[in-house]
Amino acid sequence: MQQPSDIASTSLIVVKLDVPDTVKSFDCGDEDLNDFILHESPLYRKEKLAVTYVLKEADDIANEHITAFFSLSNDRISISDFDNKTKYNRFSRRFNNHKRLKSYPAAKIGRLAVHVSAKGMNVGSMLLDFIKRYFTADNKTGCRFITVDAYSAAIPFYLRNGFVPLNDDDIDEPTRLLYFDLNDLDED
Amino acid sequence: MRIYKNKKIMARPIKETPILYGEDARRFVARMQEKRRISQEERARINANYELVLGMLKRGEALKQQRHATAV
Repeated sequence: MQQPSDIASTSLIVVKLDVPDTVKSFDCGDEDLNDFILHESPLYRKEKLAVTYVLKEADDIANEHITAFFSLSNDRISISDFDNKTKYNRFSRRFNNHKRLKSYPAAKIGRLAVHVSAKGMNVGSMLLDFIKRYFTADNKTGCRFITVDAYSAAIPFYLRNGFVPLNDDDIDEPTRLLYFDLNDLDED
Repeated sequence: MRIYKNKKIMARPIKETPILYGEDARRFVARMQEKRRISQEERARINANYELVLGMLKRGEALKQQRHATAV
């Protein structure tokens, strides 16, 4: 795997976008992902549903040439004692205070994309490694898993990086939910 | 809805994480209880990338504050 030393030697910075910030142009080769960063991500920021970080040159004040971006939000993985949703719904309607759910805290990568000009430089893996350690190095509120809503073309990338599918319900959908157990990073 | 290259498009919403039931829930719990460890090489790479991007984030936030201060 290529080391990111060539990236380290540049003047790249990472910035969390504020609500009024916009990204002027971006092309990762996927129209849907481009549309997310150009038009949809401000709505998530405004509603406090997700925050977006951009990787860019330090002098790119107007976000005209960003190299990559990722969006993060709080998440949870919940498991039920029931065999299926119908049985669970029937039970929870009768007993409102007895959810019989166990939830584990997680952080979700809503979207992550790299500009076409930076493909093959392991920028995606670098950002993924950062996110994994970011939530274990200074785990302020408790976070056991990283989840991701992955586009089907990116699923091999996430599998290579230790993620596994949550279930098979979305196997034929344009995006699949995968997760990474942060306990895998523990030292013996 | 927007027009892009003569096509109507809109980014898909970020999908909600579903509740796991039955076999999916059992498989998830079993995997969670398994002890897996990454290799030392992988750990070193993750740590190096974390430090690298953390440095970029700190530089980015410092620059942002500097620009805000100048604007005020």
